[in-house]
Amino acid sequence: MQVPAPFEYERATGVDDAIALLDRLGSAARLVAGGHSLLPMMKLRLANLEYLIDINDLHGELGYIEVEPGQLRVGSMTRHRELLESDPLAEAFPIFRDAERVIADPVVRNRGTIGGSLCQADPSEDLSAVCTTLDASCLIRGSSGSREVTMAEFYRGPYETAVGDDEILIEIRIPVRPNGSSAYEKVERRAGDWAVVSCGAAVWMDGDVISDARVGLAAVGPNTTGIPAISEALRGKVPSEDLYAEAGAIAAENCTPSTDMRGSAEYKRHLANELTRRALRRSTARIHGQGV
Amino acid sequence: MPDLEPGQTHLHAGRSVLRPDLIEKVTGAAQYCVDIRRSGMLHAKIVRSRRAHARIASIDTSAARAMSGVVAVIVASDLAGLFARFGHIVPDHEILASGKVRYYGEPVAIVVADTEAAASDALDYVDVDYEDLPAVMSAEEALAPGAPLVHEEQHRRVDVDSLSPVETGADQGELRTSNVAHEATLEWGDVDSVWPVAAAVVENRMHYPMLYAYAMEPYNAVASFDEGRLEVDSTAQHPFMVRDDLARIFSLPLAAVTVRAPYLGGGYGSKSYTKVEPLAAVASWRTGRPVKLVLDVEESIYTTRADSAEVHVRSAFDDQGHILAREIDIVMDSGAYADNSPLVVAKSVNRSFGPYRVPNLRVRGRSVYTNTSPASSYRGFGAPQGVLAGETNLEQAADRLGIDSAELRRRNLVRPGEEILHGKRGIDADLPADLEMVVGALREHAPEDQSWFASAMACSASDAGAFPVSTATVRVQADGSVIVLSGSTEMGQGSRSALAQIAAEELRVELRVVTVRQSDTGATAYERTTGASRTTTLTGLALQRACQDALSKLRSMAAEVKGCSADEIAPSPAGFALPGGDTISYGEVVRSWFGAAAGEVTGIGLLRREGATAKMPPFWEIGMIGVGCRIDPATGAIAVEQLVTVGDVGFAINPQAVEAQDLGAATQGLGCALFEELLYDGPQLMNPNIVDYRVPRMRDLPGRIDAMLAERRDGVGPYGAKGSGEGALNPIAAAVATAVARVVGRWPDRVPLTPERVWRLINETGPDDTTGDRSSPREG
Repeated sequence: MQVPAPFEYERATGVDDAIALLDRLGSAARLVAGGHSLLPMMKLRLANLEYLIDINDLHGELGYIEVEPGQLRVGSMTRHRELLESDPLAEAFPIFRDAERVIADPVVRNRGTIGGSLCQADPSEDLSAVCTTLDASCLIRGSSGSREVTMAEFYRGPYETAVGDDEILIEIRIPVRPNGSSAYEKVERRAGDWAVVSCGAAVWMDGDVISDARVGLAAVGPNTTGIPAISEALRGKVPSEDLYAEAGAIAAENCTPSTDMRGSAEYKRHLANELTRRALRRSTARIHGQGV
Repeated sequence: MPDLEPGQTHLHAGRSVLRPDLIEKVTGAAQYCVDIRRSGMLHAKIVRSRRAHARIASIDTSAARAMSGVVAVIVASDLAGLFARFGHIVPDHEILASGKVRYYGEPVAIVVADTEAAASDALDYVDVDYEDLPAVMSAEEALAPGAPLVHEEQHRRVDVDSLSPVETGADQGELRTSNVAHEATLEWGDVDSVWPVAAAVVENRMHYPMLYAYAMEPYNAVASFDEGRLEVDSTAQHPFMVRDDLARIFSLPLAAVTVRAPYLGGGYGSKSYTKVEPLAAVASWRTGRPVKLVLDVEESIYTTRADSAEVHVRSAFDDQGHILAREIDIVMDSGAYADNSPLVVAKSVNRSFGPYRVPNLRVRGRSVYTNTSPASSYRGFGAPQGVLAGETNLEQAADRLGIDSAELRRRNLVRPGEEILHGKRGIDADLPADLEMVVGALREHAPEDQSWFASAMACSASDAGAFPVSTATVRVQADGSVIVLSGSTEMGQGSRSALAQIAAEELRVELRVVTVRQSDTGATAYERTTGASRTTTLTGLALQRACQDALSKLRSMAAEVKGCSADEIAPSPAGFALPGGDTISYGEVVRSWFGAAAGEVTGIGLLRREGATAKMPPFWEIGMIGVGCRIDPATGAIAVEQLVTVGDVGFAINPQAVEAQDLGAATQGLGCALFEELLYDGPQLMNPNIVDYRVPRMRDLPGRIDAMLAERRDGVGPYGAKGSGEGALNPIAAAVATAVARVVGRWPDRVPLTPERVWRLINETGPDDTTGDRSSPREG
């Protein structure tokens, strides 16, 4: 059995209480939500902390999916299962249900949260790719107030985020635009595994042409990666196989995969290309009412 | 009691009864070894080698011993006076490394403390000073001329066929000259004369990966050494064999050592033979208190794995597709200690050429020591390694000869009763009939969309059952209820319900009055092993005999108390029919004979190599598998859409349990075919955890599963039963590899068939440089 190093346990009663605890305990403390990454890291003694602050009682406050005009807000304690099962979310952004279907297993999805997933900042994490794709922003709060950062600002490198030692991720905000849809594609080594490569796409149409498109890739760089060059190449164009192929080629060129046990850099680059095409193709098909 | 329906011949046998351990396991109430606590118990953690091959220059334990809660730190020199090694075939395995370490992860010292946390905290304070030695990290390196030796000394070994015991202390042998731990050969006819005259000679080579069995419960034990007696609870599939090793270590009589195995959280062969018990036992011996040792998954992976193998097959055929000759070379990487690998390689030799008529045969198998974690038994026991190469060779021959591969098998499969191994039991199965079941199911349920899809089949036969030494005891109580005692371990396979069904059947009692108690060397009956799919067949036979012994005694006692002749007494439900029409229950017989509301009658059943079980093997375990695989050509990902299993088990005592065993074995085999592979990077494993080492999950199960049973009453076991539980694993990697080859038009040379490997096969981009070839550098 693996045994973590000794630590103190606190259970936060609300967001303000959690922030007060963080303020008091500083960098010696760490928040735990679903715990699926943090607890194994503690057992392996990769994470050594003095205080563990359990924020699961904050689910009432921070577990929500709110669709508003022009914006969709997801509370950071919203669990994977709630994201998977939410029809309004699937209607606005089918990419979420696509992704949640291939994230881990029911036990993990029952406990794991979107906030925990994002804050872990694993380069292969699926919801990070989803939020990158959707141009989300993150609301972070500390004792000195709140601030909102883009996904690009949120990630500082593998396992590093903009959330300070005395701060907590409160909410993920996603802009809602008309005539769009989205999709998620993943190659994994077995069911529910970390991605070899995964790719999210979102497309918005204006008549026959693409008004905007975004692609977010996971597992091919230090963080999940949005690729602006693809957006530039697609805007104003009529969707076609050639266009998807062009986008795929841009994705392959613009990612920085490394060779590891999940695959070689060469194969991952190939997958970035292939999955970009697939995700764009499916997003566009969905806009045209083809339920795929 | 259930009634006999038309066509049914048994009251309990042949019914899918609810397992007696089902509810408590599902609710979490079942007690596993890891749950056991003893008063005054200490906790041990193991300091493990951080080198693959190194001389231990010194060990400084002073800092660790000074830590709070630490009771003792034990190193090899503390074991003076003991026979500090174990190993049931070659006693080459040191309890704690002395002199040198032979693999990364090898136990070097034991920290014993008041709590598990205190023991864990102290591990880093044991300072081991190593002097590196050149290491051999693969069988190829180990066999190279002038390779460094993993073992300098040759320990006397047990003859794996006769299983004669190792004599205590008398095994200091001569010096070794190579890293070959064991060599097994099998030969008949004259293969060399065949190659020039054959219509086709087909040659291939397959690599079978290093695997971890991933039992959900890691190895653990609690040991208590007190006043010359040793009591151990552990995760042992074979508690009696562990007892023998422990008795030798401490020079104790067998009767002074008790080993108990409660429910096991999975075994799959990985918990065969002695593992962590000596560590816990010497820790208790040194501290005088009970000691609990629980390994984590990483430590378990470093404790035992499956042998990886390079297998080279060459087969000759005539123009009608009849096999003329097969020559097979098997090299297994067995790691730093022999454990059961000599027997694994010997069985692999027997199982590699298939259940076919092979008039000329030459097989050589070598088990090779390397500086990697020790390999031992794994479900299938040498069969999967050989069958992967042998069956894909046959499929390639079918391509070459232009004969459908099912037809090629029809022409070569042995017929019922025919010998596979000369002088051994002829095959007790109808393989051609089993084959038609697979062919039929694959055809009937073939998907409409055949794009990038192919189905394939493979088969195998294993000389199973192991050496027949089994005993069983039944105790009929004063109320007519029945206690069955068996040394066979319940590890999830369902032996508790199968044995209860056999006892209820034989004694004609209700199933609910039968309680089965298992695996306590001090209290239950002797059983040599729980392996080789033997329990239903061999323990079942011993149990039938025990029941007949009890019935015979009860009948005589009934005659005595009723004043009639035993011949006048006939069987009736849960008792006897007396002359004159009255009946008497077993409980009444016991109470009347003892003259009080007390007493019990014991029946004993003994089984050895005689009569029905004189010929080896006791039975053949059949693997007959079909799969349908679809490949995503752009990513290389494989979806196994169809799975067909045929459980050729003679008679299914519990049909649902047999089907579940087949599905479990097939799924475990799919893990090897698609996902699983332990990979070394330098001295240590890259993926010794279940995040990076990937076993199948529910969502990986094939979409359509046809689990069929073939019940022809052709086994030696109770009611014509034969063993089950391993067969479906053995051929499945070969079937998947064949399906992939049929889709992409190229033959893989290894499993698992990861998406990238399949993609590379499709695109012919050369070998996979990440997970296949060990020599290439890696990132991350």
